[in-house]
Formats: sequence, C-alpha cells, structure tokens
Amino acid sequence: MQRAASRLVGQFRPHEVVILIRRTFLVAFYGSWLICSVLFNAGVLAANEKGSLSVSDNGLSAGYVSLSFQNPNPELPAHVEMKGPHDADWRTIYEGPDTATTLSGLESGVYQFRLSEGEDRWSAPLELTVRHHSLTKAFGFFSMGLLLFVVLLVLIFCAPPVTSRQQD
Amino acid sequence: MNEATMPISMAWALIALFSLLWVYLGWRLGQSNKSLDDYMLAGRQVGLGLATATAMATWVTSNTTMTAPQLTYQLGIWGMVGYSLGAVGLLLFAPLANRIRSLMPEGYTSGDFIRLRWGVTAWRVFLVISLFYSFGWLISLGMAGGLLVNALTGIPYLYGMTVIVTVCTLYTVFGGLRAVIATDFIQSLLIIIGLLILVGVIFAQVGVEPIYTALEAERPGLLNLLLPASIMFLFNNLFFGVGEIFHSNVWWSRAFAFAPKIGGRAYFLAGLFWLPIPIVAGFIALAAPALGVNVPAADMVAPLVATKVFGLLGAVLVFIVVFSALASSLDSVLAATSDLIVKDIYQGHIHPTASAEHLRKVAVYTVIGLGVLTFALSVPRLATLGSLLHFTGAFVASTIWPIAFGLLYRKGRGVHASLAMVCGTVAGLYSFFAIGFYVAALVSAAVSLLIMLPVLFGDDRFAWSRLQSERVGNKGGTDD
Repeated sequence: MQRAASRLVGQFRPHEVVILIRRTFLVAFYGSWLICSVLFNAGVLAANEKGSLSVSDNGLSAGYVSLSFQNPNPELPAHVEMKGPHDADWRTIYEGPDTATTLSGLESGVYQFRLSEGEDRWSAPLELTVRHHSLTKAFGFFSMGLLLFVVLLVLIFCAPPVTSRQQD
Repeated sequence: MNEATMPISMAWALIALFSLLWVYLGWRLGQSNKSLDDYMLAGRQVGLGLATATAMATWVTSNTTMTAPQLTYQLGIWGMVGYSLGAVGLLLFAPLANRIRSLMPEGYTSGDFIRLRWGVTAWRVFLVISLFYSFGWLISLGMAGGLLVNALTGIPYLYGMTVIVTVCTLYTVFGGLRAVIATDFIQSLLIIIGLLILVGVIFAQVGVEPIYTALEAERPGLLNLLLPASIMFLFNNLFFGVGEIFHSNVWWSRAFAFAPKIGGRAYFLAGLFWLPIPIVAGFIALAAPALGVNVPAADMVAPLVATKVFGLLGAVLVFIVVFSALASSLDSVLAATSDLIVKDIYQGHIHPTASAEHLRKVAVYTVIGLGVLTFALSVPRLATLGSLLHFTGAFVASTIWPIAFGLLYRKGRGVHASLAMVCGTVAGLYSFFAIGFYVAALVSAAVSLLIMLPVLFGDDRFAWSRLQSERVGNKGGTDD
C-alpha cells in the first residue's frame, strides 16, 4: 500500500504535487458546499409536494409550519381552512391575496388543512401531525448546554496569564 | 406576498440616497489608506468609540432585525430571549480580544492564529469551515436585502438584492476596513433610533394587553415557557453566537485593528448594547396576531407588522433600519473574508512571497469577486433566512474549543484541533437534519469539546512567541 502510494507520488514533479493539493483543496471546499446545499434543500423539496396546498417550511416538531397554496380561482381571494385536534368543525385561517401563510405555537396533534376551489368545493385535506419533542429530551439538551457554558466560562476566566517565561 | 406599501419611485430614491452616501463615504475614507495595514486593518489604531460602534453594528445584522422576529414568531418568548443570548459571544470575546492583540501584534487573520498555533492541517480544516460560514452569512445578507425591498416596495427580489450587494461591494472596495468601521458607526445610530421608534409606536398603538390576549387565544404555544424546541434552542443559539464570533475573521480583524487594550472594553460594551436589540426586534413579531397580519414566510414578519402599523412611514423606517443593518454586516463580512482569502489562501497557498502592494491589489479584486459570488449564490433563494443561518451553526460551533484552548492554554496538538473541528461539524450536521436547526450548534460544540478536553492532561508546552513569527513566514504549530 505504502509502496503504491510512493510510486503514485513519484509520478509527479514537486510543483505538480503542490498544484494537485491546491486543486484538491478547492474541489473539497466547493464540493462540500454543493453537497450541503443539496442536503439542505432535500427537506424543502420533499416538503413541496405537488398539489394545491403544500408545506414550504416544516417545523412541525417545534409547533410551526408554513403552507403554500396555488389559488385555483385567481379572481377570488384564496381561502384556507383548518381543523385542529380540538376543533369540531373547519375554521378559516386565511382569506386574502397571498399565496402562503405561517402557523406557529401549535400544540401536539393532528391538523387538517384545505383550500377553497370555488363554491362549496374544497381541495383534498392536507393532514399534518405536530409532535413536539419530549420535555426530557428538551431538558437533556438544555442541561448539556448549561454544562458546556460553565466549562467555557471556567476555561476563559481561569486561564493562566501569559508570562515572559512562557514566551519560549 | 402582501401588497407593497412604499411607492416604487420613493423606494428607488431611498436606495439611491443611501447607496450614494455609503459609496461616497467609502471613497472619501479610502483616500487616507496608504498601506496594506491601512486598507485591511484601518491602521491598527481604532479608538474605543468607533470600536464599540463597529462591533455592535456588525453584530446587528439583517439576521437580528429580521431573524430575531422570525424566531419569536416560530419559537415564542424563548426564541426572542434565546436570540439575545447571541450577545454572550461578544461578551466572552472581550477578554480574548486583548490577548489576541498582545500575542499577535502583527497578525492579520484568524487563519494566521490557527496556522501558527495548530499547524497546517488544522489551518486547512479551519479555512474550509470559515469560508463556508462566510458564504452562508453573505448569502443570507444578500437574500435579506432582496426580500426586504420586495416586501416593502414590490421591486423584484433580484433587483433589490443586486443593488444592495453592489453598493456594499463598491464602498468596501474603495475604503477597505476604515470605510467599513466609519459607516458602521453611522449605521449603528440609524439602527438603534429606528428600532426604538418602531417598537415605541407599536407599544403605544397596539398595547401589551391586546397582544397578550391575541397570543393566548390564537397561538398559546408562543407564550409557553416549556415549549420543548425553544428550551433546546436557548443554549444552541448561545453557542452558535460564540462560535461565529470566536472563529470569524470579522471579529479577529477588528481585534487586530483596534488600538492596544481597546478590544476588551469595546467588545464588552458592544455585547451589553446589543443584548436588548433582539428582544426589541422580536417584540414586533408578537404583535402580528393582534394586528391580523398574515405572514407568508416567517422571516418577513417584522417588515409586515411595521408596515401594517405605520403604513408608509413604517415602511420607510424599516427600510432604513434593515438597509443599515444589512450594509453594516455585508461590508464587514466582505472585508474580513477578503482578508482571509488574500492572506491565508492567496499568500498562504499560492504566492507566499507576494509584496504588500501586490496583496493590496489582490484584496481589491477579492472583494469584487466575493461580491459577484454573493450575488450569484443569492439568486436561487436556497432557504429561509433562519434555516440558512442556523445551518452554518453546525460548522462554526466546532471551532469554539480549538480557538479557546489554543489562545488560553499552551497544551494540545494540531491533531486534536483538526479532529475536534471535523467531528464536531459532522455531528452538528447530523443533528440538524435528524432533530432540527435548534440543536445543530449545541451538538457540534459538545462533540468538539469531548475531543479537545483530553488536551488539558497532555505534556505539550506551546511557546507563545511562535505566534509572533508571522512576518518571517514560519508555518508554526504543533502539527499532527
């Protein structure tokens, strides 16, 4: 393995090795940017299912969600209704010219949304489940953060000063 | 999107007025730049007043004025308080700033420190993280500019974004860090005055009682102090802020630019002044349900509420505040990222023997190139501002411990720092996708600490004098 590696390196002149390293560095940088961009958008793309009502920002585990919609009757205002876990009937959450709306502060449960398609005609309901993280998990992360913060404070404020003896 | 409030002609007039003002100041201040130190580090003699203003104004970004309300709208009270914990980064950087200035009086970038302290491998890992973060920040600023202009005036996103990126690039090119710091001073005054007027009027016109009643009826979760995601977010945002400030050359270049012993006081005061700003800005979002404002995207809540309350005057005020906040950050990130590219990538990897004069020319071209790249990457509008910003948290939080250990203690080797940054980033990214944006920085910092902690029990003794070997081209470090 080591011999193969040295044979491979031996095929290049020193300045070519430097150029290779530089290019590898640039490819790694832009490659990582590209990969992360794709990963980052994967969730957003997956959420934007085709249809009249779709999720454009998914924060269901934190109790918020943004819904996008294509109004089938552009001459009329868009009309979106919701039925929450405690609602017996549908209720209007947005009526107007916009093509999106954001809901937040939602409690855990199943929510249904529908978009008006004209007189008494509605789109198929979009069903979303809000499921908050458990408080145990939340306080676990909180405690971890608190511990890290204390470590950082101790590290900074208990650090020894720089003395001339330490210069060498 | 909601109907625009400001006539397009007035919007273009405002944009033209502020653009001319910033570019003129950049050109005027650039006249006194004689050397590379003048251009990149404002002559290394910035006093306390300007130093405090530039640190605060740079930290009041479009993210503060637009993302703090967004997080309040999504995560409630703790979202607002959690965002203000970003001030801890400035407060904790205060003692480090004085140490940086005394240990590296000739330093230019945070990359210089990592290279000399931790060696070449850690330096390259750090550069990837830092440049990734810088591009994320630049894109979020470019996007915020386009979104703001679009929401307030109806001018297409692409036009608004193009103008704001172009103006900031131009005055940074002309004036270097000196222009950036001087314009930051004016911009910080505009931001504070504008925000106080906005919140004062919302408070007076809408009132706390109706806001609370509407929230309780329509969005009780936002008042819930036990909202799990918000509890997780609190320390996440603190470590995100600490990671941003500890590693970013935006703050290191200022530590090098401030006169000796000024950095500590300036960063401490800036942190104190910055602390209430996200709470003030976040309060605007809580008024949305009481005012019946529809919020198509959470990052637009602040401009939408302000225009609902004030009409045209509100739109103008929000425009001035956010345009100032955008400019004060965009120019700083452009200048600092350019320094990092010129000193660490161009001089460090491509042309080690370049003269100061040559480097200054490269710095100008780099700022222009960064402006063009920011424009190109902002065009597709990758995500919401908050998500984009917190995505970079997974990267920057992994650098906290390598920076802190490296600056404060003599122990440790480059391999620890490299591993801490790589493993922290990977763990942070995993948690971003597996759990949510509100834990990415926290997980990244925790994993990074686990790798760095054993350093304290090692036998290495780094000689601080090696940090001063920048001028003789020493590669330094205690590499792997």
